[in-house]
Amino acid sequence: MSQVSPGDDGSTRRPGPQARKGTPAKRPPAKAAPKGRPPAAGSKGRPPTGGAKGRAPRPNMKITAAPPRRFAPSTLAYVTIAVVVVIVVVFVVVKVTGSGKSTSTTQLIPNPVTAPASLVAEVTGVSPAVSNAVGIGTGVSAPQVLTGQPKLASTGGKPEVLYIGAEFCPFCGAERWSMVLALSRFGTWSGLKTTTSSLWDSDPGTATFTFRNATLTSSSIDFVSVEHETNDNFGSGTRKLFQPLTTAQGNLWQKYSSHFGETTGYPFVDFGNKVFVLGPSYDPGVLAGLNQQEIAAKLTNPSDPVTQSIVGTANYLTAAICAMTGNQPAAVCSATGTKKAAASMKLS
Amino acid sequence: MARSMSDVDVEEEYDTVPPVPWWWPWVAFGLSLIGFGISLYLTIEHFQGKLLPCPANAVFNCTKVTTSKYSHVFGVPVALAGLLFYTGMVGINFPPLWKVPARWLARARLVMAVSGICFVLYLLGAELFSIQAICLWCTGVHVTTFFLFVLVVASFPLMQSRAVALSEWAEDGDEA
Repeated sequence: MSQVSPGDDGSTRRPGPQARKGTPAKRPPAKAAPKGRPPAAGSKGRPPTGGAKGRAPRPNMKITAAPPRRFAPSTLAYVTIAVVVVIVVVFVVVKVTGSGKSTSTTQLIPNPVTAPASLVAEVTGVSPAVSNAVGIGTGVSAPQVLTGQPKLASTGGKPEVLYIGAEFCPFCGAERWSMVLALSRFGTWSGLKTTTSSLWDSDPGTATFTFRNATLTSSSIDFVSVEHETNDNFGSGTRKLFQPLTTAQGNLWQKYSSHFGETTGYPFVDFGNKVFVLGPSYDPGVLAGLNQQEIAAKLTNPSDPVTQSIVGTANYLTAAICAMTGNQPAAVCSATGTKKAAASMKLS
Repeated sequence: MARSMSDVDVEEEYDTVPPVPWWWPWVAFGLSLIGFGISLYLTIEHFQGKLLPCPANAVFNCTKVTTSKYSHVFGVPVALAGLLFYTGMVGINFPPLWKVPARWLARARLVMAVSGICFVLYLLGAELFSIQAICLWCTGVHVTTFFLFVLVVASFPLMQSRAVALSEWAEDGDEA
């Protein structure tokens, strides 16, 4: 890169047309040229001035940059750039090394515990009035709809809902609240446990359920869940592979994430290869600082941001399942909240 | 027709003015357009309340970043601030303006580039240490801003010396 240092004229003979066009060199030039003075070859300094301000005109004098300073401007420029690069590198190094420090042998996040029946009842018992009032909620992103795909069904022939998530994952934690509610409209839960998301990830300690031992008994759908990784039970980054994916599940995850321009991430929910959830449906931050009971207690107030997020997402998921079941059961699929969500996804 | 001695002298003086490498203006302008495009997209998505197409996992999450408290500065959405910044950058890096030997123009370009990279460092720190997530779209803008900063800072000495030399030459021409 061409640079100019003070005291060094840094010039190039014949700068080329781009330099010539944009400069004031089109001025009438002859008037600037002093006559009758001997040329001072190789001299440096200001151009000829005709004697003004006590300076004698010196023909053939080269135009130079500012007088020498302690540091050359080009040096300062490179130092400035280097400082920025160093700051960025320090940021990254501190982040990377800091995130892997905590490797205690003490379990820092307790194992999931069986969810109290009252808690499950509160979540699955959200009233139709609240659900309909919420509709698609606020701050909720709609699932992705895809047509023309082979039907995803279990060996029994029932349409399948495939969930791939992880216990450390805060977005999965947020999504599970809505899944518990939506799927309860098509069956009965057993084996649900409560836990929190990782304490060393975004939205640390988001209160949630886990599907690790959960079963949905339903006559209309099959729910298949994979909690692919554990929590960060022993500190930052201590998550491990937990429930393995089958090859078919891995292929679905890869295929449809890629189809929508995403890398494989959590959560991934495949509703019969018709509707897909890729990533968070809402910001888990709305659940920040709340435990399971506090979250469940908010689900009676349709204007609460927690209810708007959880129930709004649940209505979308309900509409997705209705698209798999031929809109059965009718009472669920014809509810105002479900229909609003279906219309928003252009499923109806 | 033979030129006079004075014509030759002045032309030699002119020719000693350091030229601007042809690719500087175009690279700066291109980077500004890229930054403008991404900022425009982020601003539109911000005001439409849509989630960005972006991987969502433990490391990357655009939604987490763009809905965090760091998504606004003094009540102004960062996406909009970025759009305004790059609107200015597109203007000031318009290639013909790189040939204008005005000191204020070179300084304005430098001030904008340094302001931009300072804000990028602030946002990067927020992403890494407070939000704990990286927004890939934002990173695109950050990388663009960094390269623009490198180009503007590295070119500043030359732009400055060109401006000084040509303005002095112009002054002297007037005095004569």
